[in-house]
Amino acid sequence: MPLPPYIKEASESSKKRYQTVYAEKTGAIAAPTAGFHFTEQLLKSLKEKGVLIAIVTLIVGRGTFNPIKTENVEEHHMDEEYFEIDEKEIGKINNQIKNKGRIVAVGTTTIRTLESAYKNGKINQSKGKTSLFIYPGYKFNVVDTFITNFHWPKSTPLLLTCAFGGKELILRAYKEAIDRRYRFYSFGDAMLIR
Amino acid sequence: MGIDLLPLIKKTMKLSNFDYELPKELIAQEPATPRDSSKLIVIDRKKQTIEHKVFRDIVDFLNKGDLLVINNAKVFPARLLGKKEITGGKIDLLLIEEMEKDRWKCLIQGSGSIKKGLNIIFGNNKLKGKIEDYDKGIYSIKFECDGKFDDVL
Repeated sequence: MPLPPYIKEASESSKKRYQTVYAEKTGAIAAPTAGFHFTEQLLKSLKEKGVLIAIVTLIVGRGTFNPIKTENVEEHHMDEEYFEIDEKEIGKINNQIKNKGRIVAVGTTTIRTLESAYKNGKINQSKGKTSLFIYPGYKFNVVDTFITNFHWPKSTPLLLTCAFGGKELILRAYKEAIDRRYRFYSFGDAMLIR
Repeated sequence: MGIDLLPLIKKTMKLSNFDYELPKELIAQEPATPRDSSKLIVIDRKKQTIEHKVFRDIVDFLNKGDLLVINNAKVFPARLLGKKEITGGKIDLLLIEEMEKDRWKCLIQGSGSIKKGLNIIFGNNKLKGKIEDYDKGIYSIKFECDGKFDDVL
């Protein structure tokens, strides 16, 4: 399994861990790492509590990782990444939107899929390619709560996180996390923004 | 008279505003075991508060009727190192796109010529490939494997 270049000391067993427990649609160059924290048991506990689960696919490609090279953030263009959502899953999501229920997205790729497929008050597109780049100022249409990991400085996932949580608050949280010795990036700790 | 705020907002959208210093030793080299024992920082946008929890506490933050949306993308190793079946010449292959089951478009770097019909062996012989076609630098390869293709990869 190819690991990110900044992970230099990974053992064979941790290489095998570089997938979510629910990984299914192959082709991604990197894992949607916010999902690493879920075990089968934890998903079961959530279901037992009455939390509903919907599945989308965004095949993580270079778009997510390409560095922003322009000092003016809005001049950056993201490479396209493929996404798809089964009709049954679209039904669950649209039902939730209609009932004004809470939608909790796991990871930046999930958010980008949902926001890309949304049009005229609902999820309207079952597959396509997206180059949606979310940075502060973006108005979220679908997602109410967000689970993510800690991201690289000046990266597109960090800008998305700041768009969702507010830059000052997010950077304050990063500082607190550093002071408390949180673990960062793909194999690192998690963040819940509500 | 309205004031156009957009240029002001844009001025703050500088990349350098999204920088922070991270001590290198905080880059996780191994995953947490078990998975849900990782730390969870909980940020409340309304209250502007920050709390420190463990990931499995997520159960307390989600309610009946909430919809959790996950991405089921699976990582696969796009780069394969192999050798020519007959000569043993090295082959460095990058998978680009799956055309149909076990049939891929790919880029190849290798020693000597790479012709249609060439057989390539990967790793411990569990995976074999045959070059079927070549067009403008892109090869198509058909894999044969001992077991499920994804698992062998």
